[in-house]
Amino acid sequence: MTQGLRPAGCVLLIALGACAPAGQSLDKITPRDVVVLQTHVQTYLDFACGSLDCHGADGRPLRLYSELGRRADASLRPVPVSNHSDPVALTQAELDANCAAFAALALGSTQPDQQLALLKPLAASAGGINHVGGVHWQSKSDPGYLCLRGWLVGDITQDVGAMCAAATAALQR
Amino acid sequence: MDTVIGSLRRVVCASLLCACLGACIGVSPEQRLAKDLGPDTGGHQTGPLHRAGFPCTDCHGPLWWQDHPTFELAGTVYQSPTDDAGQRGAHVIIQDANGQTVTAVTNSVGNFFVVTSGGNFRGSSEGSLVVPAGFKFPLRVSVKTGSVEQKMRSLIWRETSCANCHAKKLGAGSNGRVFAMESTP
Repeated sequence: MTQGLRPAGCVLLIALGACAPAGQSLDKITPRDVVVLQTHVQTYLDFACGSLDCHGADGRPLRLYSELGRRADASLRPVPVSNHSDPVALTQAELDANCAAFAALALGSTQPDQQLALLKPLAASAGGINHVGGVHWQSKSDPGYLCLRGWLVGDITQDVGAMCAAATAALQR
Repeated sequence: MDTVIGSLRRVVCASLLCACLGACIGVSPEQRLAKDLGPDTGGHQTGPLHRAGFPCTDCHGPLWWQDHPTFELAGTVYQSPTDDAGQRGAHVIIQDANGQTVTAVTNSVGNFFVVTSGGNFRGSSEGSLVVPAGFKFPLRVSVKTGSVEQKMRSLIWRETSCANCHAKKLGAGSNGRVFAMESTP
């Protein structure tokens, strides 16, 4: 039983270790910087990925926490969210877990651009692969792709914040 | 000796057949699903008023419901987050990814359900809304009663039952019931 848990534990540790420490500025980001996630990327993930019927669902690959989706604990959802109330912000543990989920999905990728999180939402015509949740990005110039790629790869040739804001705005009312 | 072996074979074969048949007679997936849902507390056995607050398309979805049109989207609207009474006459405004906007009106227990027919739009006071074609996800939804409108902030990407994400009890995987009005302190 203990031996059976070791591989899973190792994967988790690698995934957690792959998350960058907090406190880095935008002009020098490392892949999966947790501050960049919190500041720019998470809002896009809330709308595009982390709803309760997608990656917020229990047991779904790349399970994500989001303010309006899955929470780590029921106490983080004290009241129903309405037009007059806001959800409780994600905790550091939830952000770290999201970071680890993406890191785990990158394991085995030979190239940073080949990680599943970048391939699955991308249209097949642009080099993507099948995604049960459908095509989110028609090309690699989609703001959503650039938002996520910038964070996952640490590529700041594009303004990650601006890309995430544009991608989020397209999904909001 | 051959007769004994033959009889033994027949007994073994018959036993195996019985065991196989027995494995088929049990609880079907539909029965298990219904059991997991629990009893309908509203007292309605069937029809548009039954099972308010339950995840409609668990049964009225393409997986199990083959005799009638399946529900494109269905759920129950309540007056407030803490009220068990369904909200009659609430407008559920649904906009799909094609820009099509339709409005379903809830019935006396707060239920609404959208089905496709290939014909024209038809609504009824029984909570049903017939639309010509199915929705293209994601959906944007809001609920309006009188002058009060609650907009669902997130998108619906694939779920067709409100209650699967909006269960009665708030929790890690539930945003609580869909409601039209705020609770009064």
